[in-house]
Amino acid sequence: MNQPPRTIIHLDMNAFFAAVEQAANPSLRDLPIAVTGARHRTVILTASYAAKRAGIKTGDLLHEARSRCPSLRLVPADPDKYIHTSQAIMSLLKNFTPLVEVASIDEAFLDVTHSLHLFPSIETLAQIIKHEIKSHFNLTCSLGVAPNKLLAKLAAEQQKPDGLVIVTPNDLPHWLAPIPLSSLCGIGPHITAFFHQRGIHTCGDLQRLPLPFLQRHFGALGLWLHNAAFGRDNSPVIPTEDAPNPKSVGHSMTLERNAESREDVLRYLLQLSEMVGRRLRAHHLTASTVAVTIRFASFHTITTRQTFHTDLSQSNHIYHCASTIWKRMPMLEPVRLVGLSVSSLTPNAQQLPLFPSEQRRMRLALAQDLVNDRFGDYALFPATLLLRNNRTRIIAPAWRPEGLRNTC
Amino acid sequence: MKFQCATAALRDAVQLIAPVCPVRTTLAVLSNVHVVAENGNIQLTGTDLDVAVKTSVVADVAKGGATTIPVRLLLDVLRRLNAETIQVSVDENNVATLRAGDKTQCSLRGMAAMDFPKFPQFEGSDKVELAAKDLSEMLRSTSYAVSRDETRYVLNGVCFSFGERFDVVATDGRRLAKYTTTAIKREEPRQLIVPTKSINMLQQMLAADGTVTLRYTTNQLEITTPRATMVTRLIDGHYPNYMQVIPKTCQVAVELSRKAFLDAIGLATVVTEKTKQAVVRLAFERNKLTVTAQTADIGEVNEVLDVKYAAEPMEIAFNPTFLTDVCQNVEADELVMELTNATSPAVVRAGEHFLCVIMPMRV
Repeated sequence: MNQPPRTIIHLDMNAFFAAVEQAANPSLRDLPIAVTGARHRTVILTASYAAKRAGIKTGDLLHEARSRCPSLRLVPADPDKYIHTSQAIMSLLKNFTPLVEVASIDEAFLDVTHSLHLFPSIETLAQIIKHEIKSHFNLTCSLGVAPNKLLAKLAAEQQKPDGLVIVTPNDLPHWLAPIPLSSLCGIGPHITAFFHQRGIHTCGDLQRLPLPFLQRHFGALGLWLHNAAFGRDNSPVIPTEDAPNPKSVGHSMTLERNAESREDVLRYLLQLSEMVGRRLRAHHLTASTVAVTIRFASFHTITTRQTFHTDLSQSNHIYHCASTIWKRMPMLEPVRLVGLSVSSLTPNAQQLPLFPSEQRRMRLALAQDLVNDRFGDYALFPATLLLRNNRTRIIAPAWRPEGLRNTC
Repeated sequence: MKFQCATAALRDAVQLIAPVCPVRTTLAVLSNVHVVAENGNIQLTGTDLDVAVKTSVVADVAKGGATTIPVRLLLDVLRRLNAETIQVSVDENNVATLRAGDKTQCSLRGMAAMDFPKFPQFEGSDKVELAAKDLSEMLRSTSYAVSRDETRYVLNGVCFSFGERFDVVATDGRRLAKYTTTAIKREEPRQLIVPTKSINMLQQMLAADGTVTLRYTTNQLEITTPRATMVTRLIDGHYPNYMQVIPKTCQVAVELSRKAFLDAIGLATVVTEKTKQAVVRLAFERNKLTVTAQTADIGEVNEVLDVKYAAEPMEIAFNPTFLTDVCQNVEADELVMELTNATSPAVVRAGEHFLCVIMPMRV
């Protein structure tokens, strides 16, 4: 039997956070709105299409955005709402193929190679997916269909919002040639600048460069660039449940207002330790390396990491290590972002502690996790965090609905 | 300064001191060994300001004096000399010239002796005496359990606890090793936490017969052995109440041959040593102990040992390192393992003086 040609769909939800807010609140529909992080200060996380037309983009500071678009409505992020919606969309996608890789909260890859024969055509399948999402959630998405992940993602980028771009092997050469290099997923500003200096701007230009030249300049990456220029990519669609364990678990938060003292930063580290510890325990992992990231008001960012001779999973231990690291870091100016991540993860066949005080702490953490699992995050938390607004979370780009990279 | 001595004796003395001397330091002179020649012997001292070690070598002193010599260079030179005796002379610029026979000569640039910190003096403090081999056994059977976790600094040392008896205790919060002797009693209870580096040093110094004298103040301990004298700073803090974690009762006690048990655990670790968190399972049934370890992608090991066991079957899991550490560092041929259940601490006893409490793993 002939192997059917590989067919991958990339789904990209359009202006996801903003669209969810508009779907949930009809009074916001068609208006220029932007979803922000913490209430008092942060950056624009997502702008609706109306706002995008007014020049608002992700990462803008609030005052910049307001001056550019005075009618802009700012909506504080509600991560729970987005997670709920994302999970529902992802489970809907599994109706079409079991091979669904959740790439982020609003992106997914579907390998429909073996389920395509159930539908009259790929175009019909894509339209059904778009229709299902629209009718269930009142949300639009852009779909890219291609023989591999690289091209599918590229195709989805080409038409926004509410797009559908199908690239077949036959029209690949003339479709790909004029695409700018920077559109390819995996080619960042540095590589783009390197090629621009040499007059290489499009995939077609890159195709003409000999492979040895690329390998000389980029090493192993050279081969990847060469293949990417021709739209070749073999990476498989890995369903989220099969994804390998991550190498680190971390959270960061942009503070509501700059932390002026070292003690203020410590309080945020305590909160981050609680979040990281909870995640580690939920996945039965222990860590031994701790990294603290500090971004100052000037956006100057420093990270310090240290490996400890111990297995960390209790929040208080993680906090202790994080505060030890923070003591060694300079506080050059007020702090606007604090990040904490742990790595060197090992599956935790739980070693029980010897001393009663630690046994109590272990039981307390377990009880706290159970309460929070049942009644929601921050149902039970250290009193030190009582005066802080704990609901100002931001969703990281690496978010997954299941698994370690959850909300942050 | 000028003296002549046996090369081997000088080499052994320098080798003993070298581990104390820091490689990188803000005080350059600490990388040197302090040498004083007087009255028919030379005295060598090394320190990192936390620990100081002093030893002496019999020598034929032609001219007394003091200097410091880079300890690692000196040791490297001494290791390469075959001559039985060595002549050392030091000029006023602290350049030490070593001569072995007529044909070999080596000069090392040292630093002035006056820059070297003074060796701490102990006057009128408490004093305990015991046999070097007893203290050596106490340290060997416990020191492996010391915590390396820098965040729990009080556990980064071995606790010497004086009172109605003398306990030597080490723990890392998951296992605890204790050696007790009732031959030493002090009216005034006292706990000294001796840093790991000093314990390692001390174990080198104890490699000889004779008597050891311990003298201590509130924050320092001086130990004199036939080979050398060491003064160490003590870890400042309260050692946890270790007696409360030693179970008073148990459900069942099993006798184990140390050698057979060590071999079985050793075999099990073949499939676990590549994993970062290894687990070995012990399944006790009637007159039978099955030791099992398995790692996905690597393999599985089973070994059955004959034991006297008449209680209900029980399965318990441990970090294999905790078991091998005990088996490798005690001398008794028979061990007794006391168990209660799969999540309660197990106690391994060897002879009447030693026990190790080991927390199981929940699997």
